[in-house]
Formats: sequence, structure tokens, C-alpha cells
Amino acid sequence: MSANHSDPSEPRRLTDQEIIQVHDHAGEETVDDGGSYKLLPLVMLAALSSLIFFGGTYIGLYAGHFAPTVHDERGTASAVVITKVDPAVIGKKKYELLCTTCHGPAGMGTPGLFPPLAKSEWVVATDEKLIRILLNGLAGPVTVDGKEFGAAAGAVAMPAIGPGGAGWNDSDIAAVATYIRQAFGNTAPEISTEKVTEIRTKVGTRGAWSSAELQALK
Amino acid sequence: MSSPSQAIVSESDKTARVPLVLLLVSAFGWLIVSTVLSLIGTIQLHTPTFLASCVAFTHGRVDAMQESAFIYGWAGNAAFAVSLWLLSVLGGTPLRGLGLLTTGAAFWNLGVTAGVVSIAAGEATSIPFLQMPGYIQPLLFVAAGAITTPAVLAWTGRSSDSTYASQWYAVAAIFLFPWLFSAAQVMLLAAPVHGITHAIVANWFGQNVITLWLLPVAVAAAYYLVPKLTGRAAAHYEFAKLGFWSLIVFGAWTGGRHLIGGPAPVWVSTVAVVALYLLLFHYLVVAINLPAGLFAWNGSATLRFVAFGLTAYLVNGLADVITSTHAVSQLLHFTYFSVAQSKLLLGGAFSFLIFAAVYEMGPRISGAKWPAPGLIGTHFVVAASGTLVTVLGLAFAGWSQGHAQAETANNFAAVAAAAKPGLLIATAGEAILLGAAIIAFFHLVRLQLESFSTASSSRETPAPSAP
Repeated sequence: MSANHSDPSEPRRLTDQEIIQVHDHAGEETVDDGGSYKLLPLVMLAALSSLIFFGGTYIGLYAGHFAPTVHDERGTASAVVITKVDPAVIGKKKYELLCTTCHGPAGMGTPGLFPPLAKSEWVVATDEKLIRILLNGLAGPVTVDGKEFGAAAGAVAMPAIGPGGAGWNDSDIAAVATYIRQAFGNTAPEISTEKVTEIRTKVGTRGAWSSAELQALK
Repeated sequence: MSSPSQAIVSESDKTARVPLVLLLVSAFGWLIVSTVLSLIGTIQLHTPTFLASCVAFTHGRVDAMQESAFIYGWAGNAAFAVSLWLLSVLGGTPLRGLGLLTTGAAFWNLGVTAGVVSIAAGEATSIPFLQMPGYIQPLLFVAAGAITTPAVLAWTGRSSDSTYASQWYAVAAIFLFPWLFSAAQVMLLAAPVHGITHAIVANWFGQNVITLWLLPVAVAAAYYLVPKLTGRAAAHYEFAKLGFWSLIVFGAWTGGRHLIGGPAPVWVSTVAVVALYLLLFHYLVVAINLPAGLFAWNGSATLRFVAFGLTAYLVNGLADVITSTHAVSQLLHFTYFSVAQSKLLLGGAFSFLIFAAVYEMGPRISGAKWPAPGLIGTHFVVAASGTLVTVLGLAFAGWSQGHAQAETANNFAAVAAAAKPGLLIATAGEAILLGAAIIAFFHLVRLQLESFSTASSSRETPAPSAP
């Protein structure tokens, strides 16, 4: 059986040199003769221009102004603000990491040993005392909601969780303080990082507070 | 009048026979290997216990071996052979540096073999398109250099100042591959970059191996074969240059599309999506230039391969744009649908255009006719049906998988069950493709055996083909 190339119904094949020659002068006959535009070049120009226009618009809308921190196609430039996380959410995580050991998941504490946070005047009444306890800890007996705590143990009951203790930063302390003021049925206002920073700077480095020292504060 | 098929068998075609046949036979051999691995991998997707007790053939390794065998074994060898041959015949110059070429081709295939075996031994890098271990890669790079040097010589030593589109695409592929390959080897393996940059570079490389290396060779073949086989010049050829540059310039930016919804800065994927849109211009030019007389179904089987390959190429360009839009991407990204797209592009567009080129160059480098011309048509029917069944099966699987995943109530087993019917269809398609690969390999080997007997008999009598 012969190769189907020699089939007379087959179109004539171009030689390699012919392929180069017939294409070499392509386009030359499309010179603007008589001032009339050929339609196709205009169509191609329109096609390329509209693709480029579309692409430019798309980049303008969805490239997040080439900012390395934008990961969402729909995040337009003005919406690219770092969303503030609810401090109570961070505070809850922090609370569950450390505080829950003594104060319990529901903030109820242990009778006679660890005071409750729910309905505690130390938590809700004043931010000055609460922040100090968190920063530096609290030693010795303390009265909460009319009940005595820590008298038998006599040792430091509440450890410091500030830089001198567990090493939390100001925003974490503010977050956990905000959380315990708004959880367990408490409804006190939130505590700002700035307030924690202010008190930490004022107090400086020191050991745990006693109940009497804190009561002496205004 | 002498038959045109005799006139085109010229001496200059046959000089590079040994290295070109070495590349082609290796390529078709690797195609069988990769199709077998692909079949195993697809079976494992719906029947996870298949070969699960054999550690070398667990799914992760099979997948990496299949990719390496396909890209570097089949596609790489074939792309080298076709681009070398096109630059030689269109440059009107025999290939020079044949010793270098043969050595390079031998070491390239040794390297790929060692790479695939070491993946089976568990040494895969886990970087897409660069799965072969780092100690193999430099060998492949040097071998690629040896293989492409004759192509550069054929380009610089061309007999005419005028050039044709096929030459641009082939030369671009020859020059861009070493850039991609060396940059990827350094930035991903030798001195790896860290964090998300690694993923960005890996996707840049993986996409551009296809867009800037393999596809330009396939397009070069199409630009050569259409005028050659239809006897007509490319329509509106004056736009071909724009089509070429739009592929090179915009194509290089498309890698980030794999990072849609990923952890990279959003501009990386947005720019890639825009580049995909701009590539539509390239597809438009190719679509205007080439289809003249392409769909004459009474034409040769070789022309049918070109028609199928070009159609797959254009359909894939549109599919890329559609699947990169936000709504569609949310549904289909990370599903079998992207596997279907890559099958359509590599198994449909690239492979079919390369098959067509091989059916044209095979007789001309061997000095003999295809021993069973009817087999070319058979190969087309089997390969086309296998590709369609596989692509549609995977697309169906991906579609079902995407919808199943979108339901938060569905657990993993429910999603896997939803994809199973499509995967069973794809398995059937892979089995058909294995048949196609075996037919093509068998025919190519028979052509070589035939030409040896022709050569030995023509020593006694003058070759009938010499004009």
C-alpha cells in the first residue's frame, strides 16, 4: 500500500522553502491603498485594546494595590485595614490557657482557696486594682464578695502575669481583664492596653500586692 | 511528475537520523510508561487499595513518576526532536553538532530513568514538575544544553534571512527552557527560597514549562504542518508576530493562577488571571492564522491530528479564562477539573500536534515511508477517543467533586463517592490511551526496521526516491 501522500486527491504540499517564501511578504499587500482601511486590522486592534483595557481595570479592582498583606481578591484598597479583633476573644483564649486552673472555667473559683471572678468587686469595681493584681500578683488573705480567701494558705495566691511574672504583654493583660469583666455575668467596661501600659509604667518593678495595700489606693 | 512525497525526502533530512530517532523512540517509550503510571494512578483514585501494599507504587509516588515520565520523558524528548528538526528544515541547513546531540539525548534519558527510579524509591522532591531529586537535575540541565546547542547552530546558521513563525516558536522554546530550568533548580532545590515565595516560584516554573517550552514547540509544529499539508499559506499571516509575542510576554505571567485562593498576596493571582485574558489575543491570532482547510475530513490522518490538537489548544485557552474567574474557581479549583484541563492541554493539544509532526518527520528522517499508513488513522481514532473520554470523565468527576465539597455537611467519604463515577470513566479513557501509545510506539519502531531494510537493499540499486 502506498503512502497516502501520493493520493491525487491530496492537496499539493508546499516545500520548506516555499513555506518561507509565501509567508515572507505577507502583509505587504495590505498597504493602505486608496486611503481605505482594511477591516481586520481594526478588529484586531480593537480586540487587543479591549483586552488590555479589561486587564487594567481588573488589576485596578482586584490586585489589592499590589500590597503584600492583601490576600483577598475582593479586598479593595480602602477596606485593607487590619481588622481589630475583639479583645474579649483573645482574653478568653488567654484565660483558658492559665487563669482557668484556679478560677475555673466559669470564674467561680474554689471556696476558701481561690476567689471567684464572677460578681467580684475586685474585678468590676475598679480597673486600677484589677490591673495591678494582674501585673504583679496578690499575696495574703483577701475578702471577695463578703467571703475570706487564702487565709489558711498564707502564701502567694495570685501569681504575677505581667513582665515580672508570666511575661504577658500589655495588650494580653488588657484582653484578659476585659474578658473577665464581661464574662461570668459581669458587665464592666473594657480595659484598654494604654491603661495597662500607664499603670505598669507608674508602678514599676515590684512584688505581689497585699489586700491592704490595694485597699489603700483611692 | 515525481510524487511530492518522494521529492521531500532529501539528504539534509537524513543526516540527523540517529539522534532524532533516538529522541523520538525514547519519547514514545516514555509515553507508554507514563500512560501505564497514569492508569495506575487513576485506578487508585477510586480504588485506594490498588497496589497499596507495594510501596514504590503508592499513589504519591505513582503520581510523581507519571508526571516526570510524561513531562521530561515523553514531552521533553519529543519537543527537543521536533524543534531541532523544524529549525533544521526551515533553516535549510543540516543539523550540526550531532555527536553532542546524541550524547545529550542519551544522558537526558539516563537522567530521566534515574529520576523516575529514585522517585519510586521515595526520593521525590514534592515540587510539581520538578519531582526528580536534586542530584539528578544538574545532569538533566547539562544534557539539555547539549541537545539544544545544535538547535542554536541551526538557527544561527540558517540559509535565508527570512524566517517563519515555526522558527520563532521553536527558537523561543529552545532559549526559554534553560532559563526556566536553571532558575527553578537554583531557587527551589539548590538554594531554596523560603515561605510563600517557594510556592510562587514553583508555580511559575510549573506553568511556564508548559506555556513557554512545550506549547511553543507544539504551535511551531502547527504553523509548519498546516501550510505544508494543505498547500495554502497561513491566513492573515501578518498578525503571526503579534500572536507570538503575546504568548511569550503574557504567557510568562500565568503561573500565579494556581495560587487563586491560596496564601500568596492576591496580586500574584490577579495578574495571572489578567495574563490569561490577554493570552486570548494569542489564541485569536492562532485561530485566524491556521484553520484554513484544516477541517477537511477527507484530508490526511496527519492533518486530523493537527485539527484535533489545535482545537484542544484553543478550547483550553477559553477554559483557562473561564475557570480562573472567581465564582468558577471557588467551585472547581483543587478538584479533578484542573486535572482534566491539564490532560486536555498536554494530552490533547501538545501530544496531538507532536504526533502530527512525528508522522511528517518520521519518513523524512528515516528515508522510508510509514509501513502501515492505515495505522495512522487508527492511532488518531484511538488517541482522540481516549483523550476525550479521559478529559470528559475527569471534568465530570471534578464538577461533582466541587459541588460535593461546597456542601459543608459532606464528609470526605461523601466527596470521594461523588467523584467516583467520573473517575471510572477516566480510567476507561486511560486504558484506551495506553492502546494508542502502544500503536504509535509499534509503528515508529516498524518504520525504523523498514528503513534499515530499505537502506541495505538500496546499496545494490539506486534509491528510487532520489529525484
